[in-house]
Amino acid sequence: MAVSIRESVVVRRDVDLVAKIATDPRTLLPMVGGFGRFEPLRVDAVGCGEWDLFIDIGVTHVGGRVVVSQPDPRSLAWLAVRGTRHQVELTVEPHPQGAQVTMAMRLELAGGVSGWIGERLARGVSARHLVAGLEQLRHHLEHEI
Amino acid sequence: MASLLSRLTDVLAPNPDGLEGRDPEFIRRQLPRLWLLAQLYHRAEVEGFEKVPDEPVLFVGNHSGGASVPDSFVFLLAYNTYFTVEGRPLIGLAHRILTASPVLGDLIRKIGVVTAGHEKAEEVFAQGGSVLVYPGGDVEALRPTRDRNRLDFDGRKGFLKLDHANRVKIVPVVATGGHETLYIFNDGRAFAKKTRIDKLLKVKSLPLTLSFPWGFLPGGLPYLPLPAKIRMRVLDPIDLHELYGDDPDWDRAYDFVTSLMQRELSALAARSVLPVLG
Repeated sequence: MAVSIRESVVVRRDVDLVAKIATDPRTLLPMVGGFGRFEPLRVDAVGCGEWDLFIDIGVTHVGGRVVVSQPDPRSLAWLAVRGTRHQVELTVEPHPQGAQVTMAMRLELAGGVSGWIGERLARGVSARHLVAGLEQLRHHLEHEI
Repeated sequence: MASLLSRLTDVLAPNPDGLEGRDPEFIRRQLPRLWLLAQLYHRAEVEGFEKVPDEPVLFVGNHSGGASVPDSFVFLLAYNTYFTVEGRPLIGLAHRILTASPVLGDLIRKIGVVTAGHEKAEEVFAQGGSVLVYPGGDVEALRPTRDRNRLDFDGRKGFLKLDHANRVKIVPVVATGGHETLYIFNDGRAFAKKTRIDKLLKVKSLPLTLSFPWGFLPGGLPYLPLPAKIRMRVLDPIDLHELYGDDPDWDRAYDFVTSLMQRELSALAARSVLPVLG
């Protein structure tokens, strides 16, 4: 089984500028402070490829190795190939005030019933991490560049 | 018995509404037990006081926890612990409904709370003190629980004008956990307007709440908070004169301060693994 989490933020900036920043893994991943550990391993010129990526859940780092890709100029995605099984898709869409950035995460924990319970408990903290990341991105785009 | 009575009389003695109403000796006596209570009951964590400059400042916070506002008390305790009771005094501005309460009003004046108003704040700055304001007031303190990690200053920009006119720096403070000490079902602004409570009592929000020992209640009376983990973070000072000059664009300044505080509030909220437990 798995849980899905989806969070969005409106950024009052031109959609193309937002897409350029939000879908650049070398800009996005260091900016999102909730990722306690992130390290590019084998990446191409735009930052796509293998990364080690962990988020801080309480006092532990949860995550693993992910493969980052850019399916189109307005989206970024990654899929875990080692560690906690999860996938994330970030999309940028036009919005009357500028752009809407959405992060959708699907998380799957092993362990039968305890895994199922863990997934439910992880839903809240994962959502708060997505919101924190999106708010950092929004503030950076609206006030720091 | 006589000693107990004299202590009780001391605690309940009327105090003036201003910096002169703050009672350092009272704070000194109560601080160890109240801080211990905050540590044990709320596992309180306050970080970032080292960023506060040695000059009067305007602390600006997000308001949570209905009428009991536990994180405001945690902040006052933490401030007096870090900067000492003899250090620069901190005065918190509160709604008249709290400061005018017969017993509670006198008690909170002793620890440095006065009725909200620009004149009161200006007096405190002039006397070398710092001021703590919650621009969102009752609207933010009574926002729905689902929005507990959202900042809601309700478009109020008076704090910026107060800060700019007094040439002090803004020190933003964000807090999580205070809004997990009760449950608030809805946004009560429309109901407050409909019942004219907003005009009669100057309370702008009247939501349905669930708290101990009241149970379900429209609006909020001081309640016994759930033992939620409270985290607070003091941010870097903001100099409005440096950023926006002598004639600021208030909308821009408001936008920047609230955006920065929302970013930090969301980051702080992400440190919480489970609501209430922290």
